[in-house]
Amino acid sequence: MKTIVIGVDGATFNLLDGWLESGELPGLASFTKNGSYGVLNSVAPYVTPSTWTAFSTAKTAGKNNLFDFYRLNENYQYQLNSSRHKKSKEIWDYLPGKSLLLNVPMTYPPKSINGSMVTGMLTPGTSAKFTYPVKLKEEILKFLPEYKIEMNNDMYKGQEEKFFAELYRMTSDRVKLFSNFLHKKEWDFFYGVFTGTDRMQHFIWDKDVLLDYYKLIDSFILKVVEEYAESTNIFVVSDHGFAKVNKVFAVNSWLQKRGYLQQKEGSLLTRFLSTLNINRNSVIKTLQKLPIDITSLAVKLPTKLKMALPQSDKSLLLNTDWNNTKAFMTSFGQIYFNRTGRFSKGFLSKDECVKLSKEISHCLRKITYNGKKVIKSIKSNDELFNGQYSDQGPDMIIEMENGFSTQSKFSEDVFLTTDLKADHASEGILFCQGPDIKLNSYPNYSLNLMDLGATILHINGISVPGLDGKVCLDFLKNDISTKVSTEKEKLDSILDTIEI
Amino acid sequence: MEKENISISSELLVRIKEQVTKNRFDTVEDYVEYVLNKVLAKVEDQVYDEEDEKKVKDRLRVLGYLD
Repeated sequence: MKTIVIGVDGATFNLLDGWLESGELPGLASFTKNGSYGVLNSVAPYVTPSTWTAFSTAKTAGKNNLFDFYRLNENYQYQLNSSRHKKSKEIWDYLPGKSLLLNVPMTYPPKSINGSMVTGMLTPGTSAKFTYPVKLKEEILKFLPEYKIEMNNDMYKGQEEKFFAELYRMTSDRVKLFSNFLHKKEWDFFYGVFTGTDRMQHFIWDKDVLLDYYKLIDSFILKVVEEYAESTNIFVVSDHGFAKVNKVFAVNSWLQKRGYLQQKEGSLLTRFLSTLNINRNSVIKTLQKLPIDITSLAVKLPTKLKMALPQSDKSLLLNTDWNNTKAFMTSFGQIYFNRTGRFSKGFLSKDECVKLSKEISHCLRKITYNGKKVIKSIKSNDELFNGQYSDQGPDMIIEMENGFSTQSKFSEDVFLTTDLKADHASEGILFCQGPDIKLNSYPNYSLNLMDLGATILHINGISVPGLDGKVCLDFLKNDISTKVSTEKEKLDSILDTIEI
Repeated sequence: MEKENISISSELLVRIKEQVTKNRFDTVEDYVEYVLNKVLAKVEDQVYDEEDEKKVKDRLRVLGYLD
């Protein structure tokens, strides 16, 4: 049986509910009549690389190794992750038939698969080798010369209309590519992802504006349903939900105020310059206005003076005194402890980390803003990840109540107003219909992205030992016999470990 | 996709054929492509050069995914 998966990054029932009732989205509405649908829980941390990879591997980041867009190395530096850093096989690696993967995040650089691939988020651009086979790139750029993988949002600051126009153009190209390849290429497993929904929702939380964009994607979904639903199992899925944000919780500033984190103090001169609002950026800006060569001047200036200039941005990595910091947050509530063996300046033992975890959790749970609870849940590494890479992940993840988001940058206040209109939330969406899908049979228990990955493998007759996802039989019509996939797994583990 | 012919020793081919059956590949070509692609990915250049890395990181910063 063929399978189609359409990913809609960040799609949420917070938006869809009303639109489904009023018939605005006939494509998705067809699933409510002819299939099953409901909330699909994300997998923490709720950030694109981790969520989509949890789905495609049916495993946690403890096993697949993708916790975020980057890895935090032992020297507290961010190193970009890529497809090569995934340590688990993905759905398409198990399937015997041909796969067609389009715009799936974290597939760059493209790996060889049985089928074709056009890489997604974190691809540098279309000048890179972004397809498998390599020659597919020529075909795409001939068909869609302006094809874009990701927009540079910075170019559209303060130009909302231009931003929308470009986002629509980019998404229309994506729809054209998906439609064209569905017809033209050979596939048994089609998986295409739309990411523009996430990009818009962060900065616009206006139902009217968002509806138009959703309609564009829904028109593609409707065509797919009309053409394929009788013969193919179709899934529309989001990697996480979305919720409105009113305040941002500056976690590292809170940790600092509580004494768990120490900012670099700098010399007397640095602190003095700071009080005068003189920093690296302000000095460079002033010098740029003068008729002098800044580069040769910079070389001549005494190193001590250059070092004394305070950092202009308030980022965690540039401003933290690692020798005196016990805990810090990178992104999306991911808190790391400064452990020995994990970080070059780590000084906390395992026992100390257990104690610290209890202490910080206790303090975090008590935080309120205007009398309201701020933290929804706190989960430890042990609860979230199980696998040989768990150690590389955060020691705990905090999930905020609706209305709150987190930031890692330092600030004077712990709670801040923000330009961000909405942010990732745990409850995503799943719509499914097709020959194997039972009508209105969405389970009443919690289902997550990894479960969906395992279920899609099951529908395709494949059983894989050791997955974290559990097969959901509730919405399946037929008894499907599965074969255990082991040999190829063995081959992969050998290929992954050989040193060349 | 265009294909080219290469020669390998008969002995190696016999060994590959055993693996093809064992690993549920359809053909020797599929198996060789799969294995060599995986192996080459390990020895090829780094994923991002300096310029690409900056481009990707800047994009993540603007999106608020990297501070």
